[in-house]
Amino acid sequence: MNTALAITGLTKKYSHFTLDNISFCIPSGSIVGLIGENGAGKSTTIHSILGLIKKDSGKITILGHDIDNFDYAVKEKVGVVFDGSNFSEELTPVKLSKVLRDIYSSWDQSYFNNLLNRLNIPAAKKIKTFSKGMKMKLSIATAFAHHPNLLILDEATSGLDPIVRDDILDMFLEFVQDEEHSILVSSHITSDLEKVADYIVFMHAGKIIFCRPKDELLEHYGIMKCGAAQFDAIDKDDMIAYRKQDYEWQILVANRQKAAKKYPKVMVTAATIDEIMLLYVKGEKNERVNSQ
Amino acid sequence: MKGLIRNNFYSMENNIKISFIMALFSAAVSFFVKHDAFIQMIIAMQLFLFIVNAGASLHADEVSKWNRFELTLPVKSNDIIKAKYISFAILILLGIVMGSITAIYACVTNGFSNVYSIFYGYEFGLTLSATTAGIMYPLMLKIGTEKNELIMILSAIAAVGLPVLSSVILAPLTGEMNMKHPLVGMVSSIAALGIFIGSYFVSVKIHRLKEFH
Repeated sequence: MNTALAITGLTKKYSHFTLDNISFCIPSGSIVGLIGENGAGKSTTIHSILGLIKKDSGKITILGHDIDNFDYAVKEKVGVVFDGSNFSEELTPVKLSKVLRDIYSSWDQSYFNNLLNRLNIPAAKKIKTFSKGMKMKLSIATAFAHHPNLLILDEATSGLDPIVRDDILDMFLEFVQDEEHSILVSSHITSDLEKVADYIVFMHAGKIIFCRPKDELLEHYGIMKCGAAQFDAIDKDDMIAYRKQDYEWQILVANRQKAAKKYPKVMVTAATIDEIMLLYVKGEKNERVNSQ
Repeated sequence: MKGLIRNNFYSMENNIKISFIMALFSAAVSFFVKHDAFIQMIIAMQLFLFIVNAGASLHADEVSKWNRFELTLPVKSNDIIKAKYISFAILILLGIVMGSITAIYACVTNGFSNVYSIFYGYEFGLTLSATTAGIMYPLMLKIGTEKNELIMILSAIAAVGLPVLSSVILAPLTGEMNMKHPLVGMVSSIAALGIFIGSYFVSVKIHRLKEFH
């Protein structure tokens, strides 16, 4: 399997924060969702990948090219969308396309026009008159219009209404269908990632907590809910993380089917990515299980 | 790089239109006033009018985070800076064109024929514009554009200071401290162009070391 993006041992130190030895990869044809609370290190990771900040150590390879010896032509094959519009407010989409077609040799004007129509973006209006959602749609259209092989999106679906978000998520799924294209998307909206991501990379306090196939998380991870007495009887090795809420204990387990058989009197439900993230961040972690 | 220059001008479009109107108005005023000093000042002002747009444009780039986004484009870091300096040079050229309109207008309609006076207007305008752009851009790149007006004013003050400094240094050759001496005008203009070109290399270095969040 080819790798669109590979990160090994990425480290970036600030006085108040350290991105600590991050490693993960994006197989070609897949969507990888980067999740974590604010300040977890998602944007620092993405900015390091894009060379916007200088990493202290580690290796980043995009489409087989080491970013330290980056041929700028490789950037032709990378589409980028940040949170919000990054274009001059005085521009219209028509003028923006004139700018970008002089920059990207692979710029596809007719595809861009199609995207403007599909996403209901007015071509001749100034960007400053657009809503936040409209600006995001324009950013996404420009990222698609030069036919990149890798899309990197930092909170790209934030500010969009559910219907537009759904359209955009469908575009992501279409994009990766031929197994040649890949997406790295960071998002707070984990329900979006549950819909489209193949892998979930969960970051917390500058570290990767896990990098797992989404299906494995959704099909196997579970939340056990029980009282104090039942909690005491549960083998700690079965717990990934746990927390007490009012009179109820919530326990995150890696295999809910196995847990349901082993503890038939305890309610075990499927865990959403949000719940997994919350228990990891706010709960007590079983370090022995997590280090395995 | 063509796309980057195009983007710079699109984002300044409205301000450039205002500068054109002001420059045309100044040219029209020169019809009524035949005084040498006035024509000189109009030409110098017309040259400077266009470069002041650069500050607003740089601020807009930072607010929209275009300056971060353009690093993800398939262009070399040097070309990003080069595009800025070419845009500044085009703005100065626009000022020279407007100044020439004033000069021709004054000569044709008023019979104004003091060539040196016109030439001094160009020299002073060029000194102001090139020095302001050359100081302003690396400063904004280094410390950000939040105080873009202050940086612009300080750069302009430094630009005015350059001919003053030249006249002081050249006083032994010109006989006295004379800002309007041809030698002072020429040395100031060459020094301003030197600052502008040197500023490009400083900006390239700052840009390479800068982190964009």
